Amino acid sequence: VRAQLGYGLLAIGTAASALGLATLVAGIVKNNARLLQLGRRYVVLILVAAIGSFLVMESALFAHDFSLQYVANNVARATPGLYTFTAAWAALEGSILLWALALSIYVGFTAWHFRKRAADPLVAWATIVQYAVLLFFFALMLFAANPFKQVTGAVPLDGRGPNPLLQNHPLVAIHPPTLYAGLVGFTIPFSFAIAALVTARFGEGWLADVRRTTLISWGFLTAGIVLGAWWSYAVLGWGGYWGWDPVENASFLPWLTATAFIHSVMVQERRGMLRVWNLSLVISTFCLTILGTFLTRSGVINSVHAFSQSAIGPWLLIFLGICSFTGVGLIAWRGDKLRSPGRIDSPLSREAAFLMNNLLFTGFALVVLTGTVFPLLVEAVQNKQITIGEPYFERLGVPIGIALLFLMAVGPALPWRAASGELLRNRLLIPAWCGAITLVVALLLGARGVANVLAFALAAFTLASIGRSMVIGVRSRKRAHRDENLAVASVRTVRGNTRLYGGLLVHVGVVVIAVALATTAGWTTRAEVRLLPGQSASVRGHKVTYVERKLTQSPQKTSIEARVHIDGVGNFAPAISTYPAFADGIGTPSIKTNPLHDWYVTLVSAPTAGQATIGVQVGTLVMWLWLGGLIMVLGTALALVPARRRRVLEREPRGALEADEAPAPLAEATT
Amino acid sequence: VTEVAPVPATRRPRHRLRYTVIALLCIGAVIWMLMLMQKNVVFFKTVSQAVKAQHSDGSRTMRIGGGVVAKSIQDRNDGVDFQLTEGGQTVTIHHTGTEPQLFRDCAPVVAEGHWDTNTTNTFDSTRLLIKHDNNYEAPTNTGVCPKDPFK
Repeated sequence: VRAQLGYGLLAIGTAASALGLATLVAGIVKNNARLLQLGRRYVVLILVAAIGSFLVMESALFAHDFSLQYVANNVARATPGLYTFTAAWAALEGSILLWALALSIYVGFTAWHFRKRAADPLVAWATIVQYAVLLFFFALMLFAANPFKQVTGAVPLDGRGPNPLLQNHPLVAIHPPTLYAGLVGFTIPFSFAIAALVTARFGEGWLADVRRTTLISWGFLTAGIVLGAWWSYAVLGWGGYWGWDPVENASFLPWLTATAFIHSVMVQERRGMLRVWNLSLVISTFCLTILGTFLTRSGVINSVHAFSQSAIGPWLLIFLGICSFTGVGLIAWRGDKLRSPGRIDSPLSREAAFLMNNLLFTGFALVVLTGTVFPLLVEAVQNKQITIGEPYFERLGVPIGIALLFLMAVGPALPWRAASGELLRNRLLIPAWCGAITLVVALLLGARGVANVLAFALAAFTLASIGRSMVIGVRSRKRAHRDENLAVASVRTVRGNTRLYGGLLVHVGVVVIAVALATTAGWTTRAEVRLLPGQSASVRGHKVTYVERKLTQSPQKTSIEARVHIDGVGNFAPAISTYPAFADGIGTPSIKTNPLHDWYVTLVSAPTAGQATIGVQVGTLVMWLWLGGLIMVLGTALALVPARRRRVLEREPRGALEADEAPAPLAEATT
Repeated sequence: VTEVAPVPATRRPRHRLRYTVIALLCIGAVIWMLMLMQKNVVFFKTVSQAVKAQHSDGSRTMRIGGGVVAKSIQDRNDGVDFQLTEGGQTVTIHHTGTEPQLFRDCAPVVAEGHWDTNTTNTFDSTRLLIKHDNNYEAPTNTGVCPKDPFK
């Protein structure tokens, strides 16, 4: 019954997307506002279909309805409740279902947000694009990756359970949905970019319309990437968190272009420049999310030859082709009208800094894209398996990252249009000294490696620069409102310009991550000891004792634990677990975290003949990687809080163009 | 929101030099990127393919994959020595560094490194990867691996 119900709901979703799309097109062609209103309403049906089919899937998982292929493959009776719930996205078909659900929610919110503007052609076209993307994902499930497919033959008595790696850490419940919420959300800015191109309204209006959704998606994507790194660290047992793996790169690529967009959009809002560029960034971000889905979901990564086994690969490739072709085609078609009215006056200006930032981010994206896709092309064409070694990504990524850190310190201090030498000295002298002092201190404390030392110095430079703008803001507020105490003045300053201070808080998060990247790269020691029970060895001055071996058995899994005691640190229990339906066991590292150090203990191989091989890794400031991610997310959230209307007139002169165009202040337009 | 037609911009000739310089810098950056990439290309070969091409590969960095021969693992202080087999060919892997989790008899392993120039049939490895395989089969009682993991 569930098979028919779920499939029926997917069919309804497909039909509703198609009908909604057709109604909207008809409404635009006939210029009929009632049809446009009607077309918008199809989103309700789509939401019902998406939420309904997801619930059917969950109920099938919890009811152990093994007549469904997906349930039989991804859940066992012994699977704990949490992992039964997360099994909904533990394999290909379910993850597409989650994708469609997330997209429907985004489209639903957008439709509700623009409920009074449904007859506006810009909104109508954007909705058409959203319906088209929804149609694609529903149809994908209907025809190529049906999550409600029934088993052939007899219904099995028990299922296989999720992949072992997806049922031994609770992060599986948060990481994938967060990542999806990020990736999927970029459909909305994409749809508005296409709509702006079609309706020839590529002023700044569409940017204001999608500002919030873009930021929300970006925040989710950031959180998803950091959580992914954390998952990799806590589950995979290799001690690292990022390996330039194609799967990681797939989520990092759209993040790079989206970050570029979030910055360059300010240039367009302020000066009307970079129109083609912004449209291209939005379109590439969306296309990169589809490319990422293709890379991670079609099985193309293990080998191009797995291509034929997965039915969705060609679909995604064709869809990717259509999206990029439409985007490029529309930009080319509108090219002559997209000419920007402004120009950059001075290399020492905010807009020039943003331009530089964008060159670096897109350059970074190009580096990662080439390194990720090239091996696939070689394998497809020459049938040779190659990988691009990590040094490629590091040699190019580190200088770009350092340059971005520098820009983060200097950029926000630069004024629009042009800066004078005196102003620069005034704004940057103290922060620059902080950086220089940190550089010397780091060298004296024994920091080595150009990239590491520069990272510390620039981190201090950036933090000081951010602190300075905060102090100046609060001070000028206090001057205007003498009755406020420091705390009240600080809060009100931030509330008066949430976008600025939210952005700066995100920068603080980036700085924290940059420092942690440098310390984990430069100050991590790894050792491996082979011990009999009761024996000890010394690692970094601490006595490591292998106490005993312990076997625990549950219906879900069988684990061999090694009880390890490290003097002055604590007890560890790294394990190797085997799951009934999977021959290959997986290791579970045992981690003790404090603000300075992470002790990371793994069991290299199951201790059979008494002797166990135990890996001990000590990392420096690892915890700050995740905290930095948290700060970035908090900053994004702050930037989303509507700003209190500022009473004081802005000091900087507005461009002549903006006076003509008179765009509503962003905070107003989006609330 | 009202939108105005964009104002056509005129490009002053003095900017031409600047654009040329920027374009050249970009081209240079792309060339540098491609060169770095070419330098870091790591070929993957199975043991039998690698043995066949050992002569032409010299000491270039590559990855070779095969199954760990049962009972061949010998621990050293700074690493491990073991035999890797695939397609009827067996080589000795001289690995320096740590081993990944679940490194064991019959495991499907990829070793990154290069052929030892002094001895034939020995491959110096600096990095070991386990190819995750849900169909792993432990060695039989007679100490034989039931299958060739890269087949």
